[in-house]
Amino acid sequence: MIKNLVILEMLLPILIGVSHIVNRRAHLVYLVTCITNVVVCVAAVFICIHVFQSGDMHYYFGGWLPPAGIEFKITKFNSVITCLISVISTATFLHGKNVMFDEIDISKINSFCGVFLICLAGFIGVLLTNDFFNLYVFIEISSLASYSLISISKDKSSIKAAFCYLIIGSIAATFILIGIAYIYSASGTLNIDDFISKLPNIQESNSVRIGYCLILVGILIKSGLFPLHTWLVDSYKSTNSFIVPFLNGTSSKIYIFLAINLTYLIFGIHYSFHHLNISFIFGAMGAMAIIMCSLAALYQSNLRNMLIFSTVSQIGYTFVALGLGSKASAVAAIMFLFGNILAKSSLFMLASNIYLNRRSYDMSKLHNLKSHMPIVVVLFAINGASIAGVPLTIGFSAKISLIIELIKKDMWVMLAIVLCSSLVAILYIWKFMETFLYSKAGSINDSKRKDGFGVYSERELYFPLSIIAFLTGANLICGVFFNRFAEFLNNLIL
Amino acid sequence: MFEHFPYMLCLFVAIVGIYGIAVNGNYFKKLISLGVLQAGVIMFFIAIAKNKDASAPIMDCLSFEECEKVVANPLPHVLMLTAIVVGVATLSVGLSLIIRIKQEYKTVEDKELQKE
Amino acid sequence: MNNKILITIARLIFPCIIALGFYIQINGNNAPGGGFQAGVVMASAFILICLVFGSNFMSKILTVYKLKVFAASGVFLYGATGLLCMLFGSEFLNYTAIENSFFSKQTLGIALIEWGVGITVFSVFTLGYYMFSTNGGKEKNV
Repeated sequence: MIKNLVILEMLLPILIGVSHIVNRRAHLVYLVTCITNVVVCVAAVFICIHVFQSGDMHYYFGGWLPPAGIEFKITKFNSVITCLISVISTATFLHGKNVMFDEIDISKINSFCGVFLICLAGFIGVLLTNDFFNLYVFIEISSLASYSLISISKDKSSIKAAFCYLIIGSIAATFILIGIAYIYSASGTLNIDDFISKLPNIQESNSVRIGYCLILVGILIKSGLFPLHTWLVDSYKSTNSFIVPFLNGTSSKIYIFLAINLTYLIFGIHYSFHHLNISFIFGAMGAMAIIMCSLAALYQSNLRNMLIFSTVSQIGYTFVALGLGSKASAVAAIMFLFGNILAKSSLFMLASNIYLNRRSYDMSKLHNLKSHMPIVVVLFAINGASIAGVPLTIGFSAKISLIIELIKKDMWVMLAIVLCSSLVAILYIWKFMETFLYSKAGSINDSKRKDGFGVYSERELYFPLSIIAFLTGANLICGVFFNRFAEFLNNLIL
Repeated sequence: MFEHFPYMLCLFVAIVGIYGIAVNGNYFKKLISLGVLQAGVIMFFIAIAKNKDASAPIMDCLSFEECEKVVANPLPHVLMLTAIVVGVATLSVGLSLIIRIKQEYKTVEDKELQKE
Repeated sequence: MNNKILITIARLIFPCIIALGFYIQINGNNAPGGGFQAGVVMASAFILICLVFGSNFMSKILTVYKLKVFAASGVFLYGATGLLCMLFGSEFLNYTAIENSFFSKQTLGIALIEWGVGITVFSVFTLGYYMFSTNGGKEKNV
């Protein structure tokens, strides 16, 4: 019975998403999509509990056993990240009704929700699959859906950004495909478990090395590491506010999950860090990401742009942690992943709610927010503290784990970079907090309706804010019970 | 060196595709170069599948004992059917985006679009 | 001026293309062919009609909404085949649950999903050309 939930998780969003094409009533489409998201979330939680009690689960498509057939393999790591993805998707949908009906044309909402569900199904397929080529197919499904989602916006430049994302994303996926070709030609199998068992025999082969590097480059492009991050900044800047929390929580984070899977679980620490020296690449690119993007975030006066640059610098932290090559550093990277998914998506959702009230993301229009939206300011403070690394949040646990690992490996320059950029992070979060807390003389003193655009007061936004408060609460709980959380994550990779 | 010649040729086509994406200023030409890149990769997969003195993997008889012959590996051929469909889908999404860019900006040249 | 030639040839060749499309679809099990190829061939027939006779004529045969329903039904046929296999107790898309006799050996399951793929590919390609030429279905009578 539980096995059927696995296929339901992947199949139900696709079928319901396709059925939205023929449904023209926007509110019905929204309701059905919310229900689908909740069902997927509940299924993910059930599977997670089952895997923790009974061990890994395998689902063989068509009854064909591996290595001949395609299978879905659900481990503890997979199931926890699937829970996170489905929670973020449900939270985006439940919170975003005002944002969606505000920013997207009402005749396009049914196609928008349909493509959203197909994107979600693609991401869940990437997480669960145990077959290399199936991985490529699900990567392409989710990528094509996200190119279409990004192009729907009131801002004209979102179409240009979506096209650039399409070109760069397709190149990355093609690199992954060439890498799969090399790995297949060396090992003769496409099944990941079978490949892990064959790897000790073919370690010296050049094909495996080239395949590994090509797949890694494809994954790095898609996750948005520093020199390869331009598509991320351009896309998130100009797209509609509804989709940004979802894409931030899923798109680049799933590829970071794949990077962890590839370097630590499939190829193993010995092959990745001693046979091939990828720690230099991860460390150098991560350090550049941290320095350049934290400084860029400091100079932004637009709230959403600041959050986007902050996201890219957090990806830098994650890759610095991955480049250290030990189990504890992988745990630190997963903590950054958790913290980023929960806190950054909440920050993006808060930013879209601020836009509903003030109709602008620019810092000059956001003065004195505390008298109109006090709850928003409090939630912004807590989530911003998680990004900056203030104690009692996941961000702090992640940074402390990273710093301990850096001290253990005697990497003093990297330690200095991480500490200085934490200060910069506090500065750029504080810049906006200061704007929210203090009022400027002569600025707008009341939110009033103008130009036919509705302006939402905070009373109308209590339900969305409660969803964000739920995510913030999860963040705080994981941050307060730091030891148990670290042990839990250690258990995941084993 | 000549034993790896087919693979080098296929990857050369892929590299021409990447060069085309980087150098061309017109968005439409970039999309077509993407198609060339995907064609190169598909040929690479098919080149891997060939065995020495192999023929097409089609069975003319009811079981393997009646007609033994060396056949090429059919698995990459089947995978590439899927990859071709993915390439067609990418091309169609890209073309829709180009049409919308043309409607909004009246041009699809890179240099003029960056001035906006 | 040349329209008469185009119209005559299009009228003659349209049923041949459809017949070829059906042939490729049905022979997918034993020869090169199957769902995707047949869908593209059948779509090319309707695109020929749209090119020669214009969108107004096309809208009397197939509207945008009907094509969308057709596309969705193809995906549902695929999903329903898989779920039917699950109802009989096996995994998703395990055709042995529906039929596994000596002569046909899972052909029923494969044929059903290939029809699903063919219907969806046909309607998506026709819809693609049709929506590009009528600016997203916004012209009159579409």
